[in-house]
Amino acid sequence: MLFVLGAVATIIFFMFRLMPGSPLTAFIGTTFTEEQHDLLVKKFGLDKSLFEQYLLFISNTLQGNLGLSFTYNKPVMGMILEVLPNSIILTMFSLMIAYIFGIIVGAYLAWKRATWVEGIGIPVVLITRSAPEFWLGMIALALFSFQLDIFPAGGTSAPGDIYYNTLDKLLDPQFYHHLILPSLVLAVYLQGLPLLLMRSNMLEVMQEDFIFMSKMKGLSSWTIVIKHAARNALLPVATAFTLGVGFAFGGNVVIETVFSWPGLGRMLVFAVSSSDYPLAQGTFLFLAAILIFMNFVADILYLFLDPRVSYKTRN
Amino acid sequence: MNLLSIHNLSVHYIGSQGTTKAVDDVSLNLKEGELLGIVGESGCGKTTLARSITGVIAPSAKIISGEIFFQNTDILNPTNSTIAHNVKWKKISFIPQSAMNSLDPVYKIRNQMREILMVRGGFNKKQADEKSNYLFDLVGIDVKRLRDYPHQFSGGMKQRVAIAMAIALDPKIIIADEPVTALDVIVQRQILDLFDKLKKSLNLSIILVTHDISVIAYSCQKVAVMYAGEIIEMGSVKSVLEKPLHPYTMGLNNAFPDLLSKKSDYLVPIEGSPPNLLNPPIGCRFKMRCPFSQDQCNNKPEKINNSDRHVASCWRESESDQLRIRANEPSTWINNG
Amino acid sequence: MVKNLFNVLKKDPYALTGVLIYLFFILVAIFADLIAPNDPLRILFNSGGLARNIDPGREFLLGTTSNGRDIFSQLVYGSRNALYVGLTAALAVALVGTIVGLISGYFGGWLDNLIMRCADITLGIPFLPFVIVLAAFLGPSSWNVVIAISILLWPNSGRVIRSQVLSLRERAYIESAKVSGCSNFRIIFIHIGPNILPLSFLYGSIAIGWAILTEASISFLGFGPSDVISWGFMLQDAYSSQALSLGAYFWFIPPGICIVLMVVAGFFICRGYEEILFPRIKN
Repeated sequence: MLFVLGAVATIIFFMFRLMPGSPLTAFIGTTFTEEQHDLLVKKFGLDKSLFEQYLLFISNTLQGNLGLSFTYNKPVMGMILEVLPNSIILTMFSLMIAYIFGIIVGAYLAWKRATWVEGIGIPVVLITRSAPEFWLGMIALALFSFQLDIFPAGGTSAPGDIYYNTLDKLLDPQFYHHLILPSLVLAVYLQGLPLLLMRSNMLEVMQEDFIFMSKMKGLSSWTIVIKHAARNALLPVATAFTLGVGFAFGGNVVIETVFSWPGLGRMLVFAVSSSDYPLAQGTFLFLAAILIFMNFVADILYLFLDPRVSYKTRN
Repeated sequence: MNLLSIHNLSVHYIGSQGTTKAVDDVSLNLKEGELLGIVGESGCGKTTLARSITGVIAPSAKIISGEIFFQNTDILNPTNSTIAHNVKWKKISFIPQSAMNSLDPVYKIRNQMREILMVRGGFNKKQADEKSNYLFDLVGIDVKRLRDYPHQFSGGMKQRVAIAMAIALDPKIIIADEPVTALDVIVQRQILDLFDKLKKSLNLSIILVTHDISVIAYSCQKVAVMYAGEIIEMGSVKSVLEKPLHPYTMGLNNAFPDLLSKKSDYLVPIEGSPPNLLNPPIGCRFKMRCPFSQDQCNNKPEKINNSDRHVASCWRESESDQLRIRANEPSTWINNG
Repeated sequence: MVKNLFNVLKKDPYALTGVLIYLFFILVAIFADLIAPNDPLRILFNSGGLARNIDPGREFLLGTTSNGRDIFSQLVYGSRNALYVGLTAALAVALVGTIVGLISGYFGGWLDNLIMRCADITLGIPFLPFVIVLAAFLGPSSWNVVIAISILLWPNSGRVIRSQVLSLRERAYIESAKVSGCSNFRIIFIHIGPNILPLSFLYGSIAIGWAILTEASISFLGFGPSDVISWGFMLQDAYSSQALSLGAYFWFIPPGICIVLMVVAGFFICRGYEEILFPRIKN
């Protein structure tokens, strides 16, 4: 994992160095004073060779220093950490709804193989996978927010409201009021994967010999489907969930934009469109790090869930 | 007294290309304490037959007609579903093919033993564990292995576990479908000896389905020979193997190596292959490959119907002694039909 | 094999629907000039002055945007961009993934290791953010999506194709081809290749949908080209023109529906062909 992280960080470094404009302006905004200019040149070694800059970049990053934002003149790391909880909450909330729904309905659709339920169900699910998330968000906003005025139109809080910290946020029902629409829309899009995956796994597992033997033993349908089939079918879904977390952080950009949800994705969009390179680089790096980390977790997770795998690797 | 009695059982597979008559009007009996073998080549319907007895068949299979009497109750067409349910595993259990992964890979063996004992046997956890230990001892596995997962067992050990599970609820009959096929010869013998020991000590009756005649010869007292969905010969193992009545059985004898044989040195296969069961031939199904077929074979010979004598389903049964002598000559089978 | 394809279409209503949808949009794209009454980017005027925010009616089938442009014409011309982006991306993914899979799987060794490591690294780059940043470098253009997809999406198809190749490589007929002196090139392209094509095709058709969705997202975020009409652009235009609060459903619902249709068509076709192409292969 560390290898991949390092490689990706390197790629990001070189990517951002290829920005149009001189290496100096790539990292220092034109609004900075002469003093700040010199300070930054020194800190980031911008008058040194590319290789030395690279080393500085790595060491700075490892220390948690991702530079100063052009637009806000604040440390990038701090800004990221401020919005991070919002992204985490949105992602986890939506994924959990999506996966719980997807797993149950997926198993149900497998049960209803070759019936009209499956015939209608599958195309509907495929359609949810085909619809752009932000478009669903737009429809939801137009309908529930503007027309029916049930839910707020965006942001995490009503205008004028401030949350003091994350805990405050989580305890405030206003927060959830703002959370519902974006997370539900996201969940609609996300549930397709676990649903189809669970369904196809169930279909496969139901053909296995030990299911057949369970029927011969006279065990109840409930026991067979839930205790045996579902437990086996869930393994890949658990892995998918972990991978889904990493992926969703980057993909949530659009949802965050539609609902003006202050998360990492939205910050990246803002940074790129305002040419705030340190912020953009820092955010991108962070998103990549989360993705890589979750990929790693997914691999480990499978080790724990499948007794066959852990047996092989331990021996 | 027949413990199990199958009457005129027919099972068909419904497929996209038509209906395969996998089991066609089969009748046979099993007495108490008997080890009956059903032998036949791949595709002859023996597995379908075996599974039909347990009541769990493939989704595309359909039981067309027949009755299966267990202790005088028809379990194939029971008057209410609890009858069939009470027979499942408690009276009739199943040992799968040794190549099957018949155990759930994500649960420890102990839990799977507990499942069958507690859910269907009414044991509580402590009793179930005690019984599991006892069963493992009986089949010759170290009790410590109960805490392992299925993939940690070798093929032979897995079969022992399957046997332990099959006898868990003290059934009267065990159906074993190719129980030793994928195992090496030494382990085969061990498992077959285990069958014998259990049969005697637990008063079991066993139906053993296999394509391997040597397994039949080693273990069974009675044998039914199956061909193309029908039972074509039945009798004691000694009688059927030494003095076969049906040309197919005669041909089988030639096709298997016999270490003590004084006969010719080479094996003689029966040329050709079994008929397509989507459209079985009219009359005797073996006639195309049979070196002794005549015009009358275009009519179906009499079906075997639960007799205790040694019988075969062949028009020329009465001439079997002479035919047998000719069947011993390799030239009879080569370039035939 | 062509006959086989037709048979599938006959049997599977899904695949048939998918193909019909594609055909429909292809025809619309080709005959856009004939179908669309106006130039999609032209600002229109009518008797009342600037023809802005007009509701659907006889003159403008789907009404007009806040800038006075004909929505229906935009919709029609948007199909061109969708097909363009979708098909090029699909081709790119199929090509890169297949070649990588073939080479990696067939030659093995250090080359395989290297490629697989590259795959790991590629999978560590977040997709949408990358496209966004790419748009910042290269300037807004439809090519960004295609490039990003080619660079980032090959690991999935590459890996699956690679394992197919691995299993095929050991087959007897490959051994005999080698023994009879077939060059590696021949073996790869004539013996293994045809067996891999169905997989490439499958991933390609999924890529079409993915590309269209990505293009829509990018345009929506404001990083797409503003001189080319695409459905994503329409949605962005609608959003920033407050179409939501205006309740101008006729503006932003149709482009979304078109996107859904194109993407779902890809899924439907996959489902249909999956049955004949791989009776046993699973992912």
